[in-house]
Amino acid sequence: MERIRDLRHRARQALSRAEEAEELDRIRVEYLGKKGALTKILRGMSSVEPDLRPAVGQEVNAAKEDLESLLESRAEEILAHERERRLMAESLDVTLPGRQPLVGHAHPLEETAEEMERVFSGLGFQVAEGPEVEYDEYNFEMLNIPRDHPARDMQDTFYVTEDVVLRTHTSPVQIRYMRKHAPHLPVRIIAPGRVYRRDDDPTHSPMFHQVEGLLVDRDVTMGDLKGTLLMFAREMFGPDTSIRLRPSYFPFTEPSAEVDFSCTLCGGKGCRTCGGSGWLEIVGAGMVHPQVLLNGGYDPEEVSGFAFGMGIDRVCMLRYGLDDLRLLFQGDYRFIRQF
Amino acid sequence: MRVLMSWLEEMISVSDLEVGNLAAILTSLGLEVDRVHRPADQLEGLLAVRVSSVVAHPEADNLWVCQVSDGEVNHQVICAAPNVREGMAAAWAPPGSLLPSGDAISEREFRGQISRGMLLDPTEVGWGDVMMRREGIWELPETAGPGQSLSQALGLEEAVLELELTPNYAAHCQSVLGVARELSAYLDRPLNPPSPPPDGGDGQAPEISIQEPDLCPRYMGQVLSDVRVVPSPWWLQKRLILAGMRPHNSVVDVTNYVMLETGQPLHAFDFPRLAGSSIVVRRARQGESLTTLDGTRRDLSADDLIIADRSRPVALAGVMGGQDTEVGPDTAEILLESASFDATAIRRTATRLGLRTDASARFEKDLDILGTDLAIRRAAGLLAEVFGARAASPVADVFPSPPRSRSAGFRPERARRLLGLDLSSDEMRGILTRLGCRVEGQPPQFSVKIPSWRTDIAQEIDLVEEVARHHGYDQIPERVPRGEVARPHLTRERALRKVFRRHLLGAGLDEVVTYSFASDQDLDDLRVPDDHPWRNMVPIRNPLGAWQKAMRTLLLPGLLKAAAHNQAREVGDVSLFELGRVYVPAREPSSLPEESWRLAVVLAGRASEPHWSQKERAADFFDLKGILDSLLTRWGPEGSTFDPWQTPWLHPGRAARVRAGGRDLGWLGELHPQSIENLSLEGRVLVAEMDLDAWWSLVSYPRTFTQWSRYPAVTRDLAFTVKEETPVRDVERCIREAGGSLLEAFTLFDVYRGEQVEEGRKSLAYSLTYRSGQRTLTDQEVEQVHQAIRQALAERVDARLRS
Repeated sequence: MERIRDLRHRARQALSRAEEAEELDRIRVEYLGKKGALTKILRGMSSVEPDLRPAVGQEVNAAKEDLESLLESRAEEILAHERERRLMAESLDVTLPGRQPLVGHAHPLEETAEEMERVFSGLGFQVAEGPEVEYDEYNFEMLNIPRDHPARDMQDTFYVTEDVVLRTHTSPVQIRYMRKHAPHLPVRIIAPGRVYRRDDDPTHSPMFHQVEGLLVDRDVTMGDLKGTLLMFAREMFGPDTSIRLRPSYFPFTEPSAEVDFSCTLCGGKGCRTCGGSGWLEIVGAGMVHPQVLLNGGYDPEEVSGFAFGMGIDRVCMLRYGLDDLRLLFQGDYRFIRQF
Repeated sequence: MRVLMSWLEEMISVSDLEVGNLAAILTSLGLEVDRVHRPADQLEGLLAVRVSSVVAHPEADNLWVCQVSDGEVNHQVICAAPNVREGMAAAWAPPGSLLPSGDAISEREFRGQISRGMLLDPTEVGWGDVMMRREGIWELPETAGPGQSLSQALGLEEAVLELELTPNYAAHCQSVLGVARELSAYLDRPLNPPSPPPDGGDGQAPEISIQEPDLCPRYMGQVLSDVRVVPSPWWLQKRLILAGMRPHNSVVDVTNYVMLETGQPLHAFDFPRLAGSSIVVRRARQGESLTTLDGTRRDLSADDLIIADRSRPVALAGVMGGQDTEVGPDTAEILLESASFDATAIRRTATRLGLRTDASARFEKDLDILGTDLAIRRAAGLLAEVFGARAASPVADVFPSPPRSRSAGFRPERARRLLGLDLSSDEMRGILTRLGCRVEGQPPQFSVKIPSWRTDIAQEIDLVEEVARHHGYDQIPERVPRGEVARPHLTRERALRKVFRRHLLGAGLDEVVTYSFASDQDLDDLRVPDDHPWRNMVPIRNPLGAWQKAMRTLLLPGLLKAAAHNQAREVGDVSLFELGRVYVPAREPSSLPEESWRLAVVLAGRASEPHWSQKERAADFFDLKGILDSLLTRWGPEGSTFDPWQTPWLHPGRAARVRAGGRDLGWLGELHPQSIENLSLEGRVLVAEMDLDAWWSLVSYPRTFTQWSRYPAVTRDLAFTVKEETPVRDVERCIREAGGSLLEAFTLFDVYRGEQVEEGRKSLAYSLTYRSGQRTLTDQEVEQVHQAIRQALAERVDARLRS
């Protein structure tokens, strides 16, 4: 009995010291294997006195069960421990830089144009387009700008032929759309796109972008124009933006207005961007001139409308704080990568 | 245009208003005040002094040692000006003062003599362009008291408004009188225009005949004698200078003064030099020429309206006078001209000759035909009053058919409806009346007589604008437009443009926007042949430079310029795309060009950002092709092909054309090394340009949902060799056809040459996925198809199986 207890004790000690699976195996063989110490005792039962046999048998079986369960739990422990060690060996320097997926940079101008379209489509405007190489007739004459009209000075024009120009504004889309659409109501469009003027300096590019707006319906008022532009200004530049209309002159609208937005940078207090005035000149607008409505196929006694136009580039420059328009068209990575 | 507050004040009392407030009022009326100048600001710290003694510098021939008095003490100043003399009033910059140029004045030594500051000439305070040209230092008016600030001594302590006028206001507001009229109407204050009495001399009226009454409906002239051509007094010079004009002499200054004051340009002829003492207004004859005041000889055409005497042209009507009859120092008798010319005719001549003058800029607008009278009387009056000239003739007024006064109907209700403004008919009547209109009748319709100076008003809508303008745009309440809203806002083409753009950005490409312009040089550099259709471009007649002689037929040159721009700035990794239009001339010359959408891509440098975990790799053909593949896989069309292509601007062995549905969709390839060199690019450059209109016509968009198969797939690999020259396209066509409907997909996962592969052959390894939409496939079914593919490959592309 004493020997059994001793064996059990020694086996337990060995098991708890063991650190590898092989060692556990060796201990199992040593005590529980076919030729193991405890097995030997069971085999040698015949030499034990008969009245002691049940007690010895019980003691041996108890020791076996105990050792087997300990073996199992130790095996699990060692397995877990070994896996931990293996994982530790796989340690990374987590401070090394990761692999960045390539994601392209969207051009600020295109982003601005999309944003403007989004705002106006929310106000119920449809997007229309027209050609950039345009008839003089559509670009000028149908918009009340005959040849020799002083207003042609305001827009130095690129000519293709006597009768064909690079459009100087997106306004000819007004005429094209109305003529196609008349007499249906409402006409409610915006027309974004490239336009061209003979100018080249940091604030003027021979090619730039405009978006035109046109709404023709019954009972459209100048108040509707103001309301539409105010909503646009607030969507685009924030809910505190205010607008100001000043009388101006465009041959194809009357009354005409220059529309200022409160400065997007200083909020109207006056800064370098707004030249200290607190206002930024952004939109040219007005009520569609009766003659232009007629040219478009609508009766100015029956319907009225408003139109507006603004530079996408200008809005873009304000949104991103740019001061040189030409940066937009160079494709310089020092610029592209910032957005 | 610049308006002096002191001048304005002579015609309307506004001195109780702050200048900023007045500027805001003018801006709200559409006369935009661009800036408020305060000329005194520029001259701060500068003083008027009296020169009390002038002694030659003992050590230098051309220097003077002067003592100048600031009223209390004398200061020694060294001066080089030949006109410095004892007793003169001069402008002095004391030590410590700052010139407008930013130069700081200090005490300096000139050859042993101390100079405390310096005596100034007008150039040094930025007045070089506007002062009369003189040698030496500034001689101030006698009234200048020593010790006064320079601006006080010169009487410059006032504000000057700089107005930016739109063309419609330029006709009636380009003068002090015009601005005063607007303010008088808005503020409802009386207007006091200059009203010189008519001064008819006894002599004989000049002989004037108008041969072109359409181009010159009115011509007034008066002869003045005892004219002295001398410098004008300072108060007159000062007004011209502050208004931005350079003083010349009494006669020229007075005509300019009256132009600034009333808006009516005037001209003065040296009367004795007019042959026959007569004036003829006619068109120029072919072969005639005129040397204008600027000394340029100008050949005239029958389109030009001229003023002639009995024998020859003496002035370009409304633009510039002639040199022969110019008023000079010896002139004693002049003919003053105050006329009305056709705006378009003046504009044409000024534009044709590239000669825009203060006069022509005004005549180009329709001026007040009744304004000639006031102007000539005012000018004659000033010449008499200030310079002692004498009217030597009555005023001749040739005015063949005075126009009847114009009027327009005006419906107050229509104005209310257009403006969305609740304004009573009486208030509208008040506004129009204050603006000089005569309003008759009662609502619903007024009849409005339009004042002669409002040549910009012709119809009802013009009057509506006047009401809105003078009532105030800020009074119009904002409203949200009512009525039906437009249908979905994007066309299919526009939607696809957005979809493609997002895809390309997601694929890691950077977006650029390049100019629509092009030149032959661009295509030469690229090595596009001379007879290529891209050479047929929409020309621009008046480009700003050679780089914009035409509209582009290809996006690529713009992107390649951007790539070169970056490479020149040490950014070698470039992956750019642009979605944009090209412009292809129409066959019919009278039609507009066709504008179609293109996509261009340029790759250069490394295929990805350098990373510690991988070897660097240069971008190659397959990076570029992969981008197009991904677009084609995602959006279609199915069955597009890439065919080898040879063209001068691409690498002969690394270029392909993309076709689908029998149409060319575009091309891609590696740029030819010679093109790369021509374009100042470095390394290998991959380029593609796709015809989006053709592509989109074959794309199915928007997409609809397709149910996927619910049954499991079976994957088998297949490796085999084919001849080196067999294109993969042929192999894949064979697999696709033999695989039929059960072959769901296949992927080429290895291409191998070398050991265990015969010379002249390459090994291809595919992974094939079989699946049915109706049932689970049995091994037998899969094996049958797989076998069919193997057999087809062996028979049709000479494949030898490796496994």
